[in-house]
Amino acid sequence: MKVSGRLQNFLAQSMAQSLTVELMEKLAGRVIPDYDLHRQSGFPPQIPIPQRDAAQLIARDVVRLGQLRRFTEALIEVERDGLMGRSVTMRFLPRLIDEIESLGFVFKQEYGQFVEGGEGARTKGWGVLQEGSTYEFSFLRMDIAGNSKLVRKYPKAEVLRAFADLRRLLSAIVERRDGRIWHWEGDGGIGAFLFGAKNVQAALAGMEMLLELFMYNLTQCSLAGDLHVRLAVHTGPCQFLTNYKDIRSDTLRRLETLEGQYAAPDSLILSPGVYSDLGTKLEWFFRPVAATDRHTLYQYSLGWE
Amino acid sequence: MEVLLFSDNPKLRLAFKVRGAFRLRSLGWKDFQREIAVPSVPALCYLDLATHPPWRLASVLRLIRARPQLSYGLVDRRGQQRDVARLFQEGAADYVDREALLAGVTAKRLLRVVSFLRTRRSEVPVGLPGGVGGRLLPSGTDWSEVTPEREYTFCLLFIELDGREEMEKKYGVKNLGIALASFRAFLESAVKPAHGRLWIWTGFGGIVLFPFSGADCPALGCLFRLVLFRHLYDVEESQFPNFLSYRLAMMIGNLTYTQANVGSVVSDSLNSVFHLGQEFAKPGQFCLTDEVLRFGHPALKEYFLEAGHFEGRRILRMRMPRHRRD
Repeated sequence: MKVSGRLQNFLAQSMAQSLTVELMEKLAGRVIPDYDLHRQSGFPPQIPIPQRDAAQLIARDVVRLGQLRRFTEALIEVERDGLMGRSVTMRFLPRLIDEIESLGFVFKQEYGQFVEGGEGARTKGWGVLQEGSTYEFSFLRMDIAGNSKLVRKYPKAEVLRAFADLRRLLSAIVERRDGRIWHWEGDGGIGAFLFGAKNVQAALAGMEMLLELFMYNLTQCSLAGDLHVRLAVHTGPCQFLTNYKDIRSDTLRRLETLEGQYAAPDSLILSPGVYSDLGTKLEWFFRPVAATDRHTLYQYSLGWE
Repeated sequence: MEVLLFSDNPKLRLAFKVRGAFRLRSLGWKDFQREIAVPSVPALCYLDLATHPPWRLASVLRLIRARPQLSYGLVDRRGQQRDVARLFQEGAADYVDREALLAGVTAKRLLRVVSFLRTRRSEVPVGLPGGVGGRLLPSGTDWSEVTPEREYTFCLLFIELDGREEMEKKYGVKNLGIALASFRAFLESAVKPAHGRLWIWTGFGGIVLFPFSGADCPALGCLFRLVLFRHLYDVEESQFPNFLSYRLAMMIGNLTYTQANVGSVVSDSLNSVFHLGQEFAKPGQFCLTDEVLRFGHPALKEYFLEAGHFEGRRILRMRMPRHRRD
């Protein structure tokens, strides 16, 4: 992210007019580990640093280390919740947010974070994940059942068209809930969710996909028979790499097992960790199914009166 | 109007002397599924039986009939079809035999076909309540041609939340007001894809008007989704703490569209849809008259069951989706 001198200046002004030097340093420490203002400035420890100088220095370091968004998120949080029992009013904060949003990001109130914005700018890492870092995700995996039978039964072009339709549906459903499609390979794909109630979002996306597939089969599918899918949601840590094939993750391996071994066609299966996060309203839709003697999984499927 | 000719005989297009409002596209059978998958405009399809295997005709016709924007005619230069009347009974709009082909499929003939289609479709709403003698007065496919203070045929939807008294007792005025406002916003966005307009709001529901062209009823698909996806709204957006239940009733009828003093509108159709929703439909049900179903997407029909008769009309109700199977 290329930050203009003007934006850096705004940040410095905002801090200088709103925070004490002690609070500025504390906040800087949230995004730059072990941040020491005296060491950075060259001022001897016994000499107090003027507020304006401290603000300019921290703004420079935050921008230089690519932490502007995270630091601004911290400022927003401080204004909302106060700091060390004190309420804080940050000056120029709306202006600061506007400036960052003009660089192609959107501040999501519900997550307290900036993520990439705009229709055409969706990347796998939401524009904020660090390559190689590990995060806690919730994943939704979809597989089109009986892929090879479909290819034998119908002309290949028609089958591919139907698969492309399902991919579009899944992408729209996942992205509407701030998820991202991490991988698509012919007859299935994986959506990742990171922010907010990620397990709820992934479970809802899976449910919606089953309902949309039902409507698709009913009114749009050009194949003579219906398409069927298997879906699974699992949560856990995973390294973020832009190239999906390089990722080695137990969470993704477990997800694949859940989908391949335990999800019946036209059903969504949840791991216990996901289910426990759903809340009473959403839990109601899932029934427990015994996967093994030790494990219970949770299943949703659509039926009719 | 677009005329799609499906044939593997390139010379056949010479028999179509199309001009004026009609635009001919000659296509091979290999293009058939792609072309009709998502028809963007109403089209009349001519199917050349001589270049298509007869045993696959039924599936071709099924695909066409599933798309309300499409009509079809059959080109039968070899006289393969014995029972031509049956073709029309099953939905064909034209039949072009060898003689007709020699005479040419002209714009004049196509105008007759369109006129025939209009007559066949407009037969159904005869007997609509509230209209001047139940006439069909199409309001179009959207609101662009609707003028206030004029009478039109609309598709009318009644919607009302169940359990009003309990909600009033349980939630408190402020909370209830917030929850109802969010439900209203949800309803307005849910009916938008079919150009539905919330016309009357009664606090716990209201009347939505959908323009009705006389050719099809996309509103039915919209309402089907409203029932099928109801619980996603419940979980994601609803401000009510419990699961919502609402009754839906739908019919086609005439009324004078007005923007001001909507409460003073006197209309038999309006009364009927209110009665159907409040007196006939049970909590959680979606009831409709058989005209609505006839104009809706054909694939939706199997999800409706006979529910009896009300005020002289045949009523059907939607089968309820079951989201939890124990």
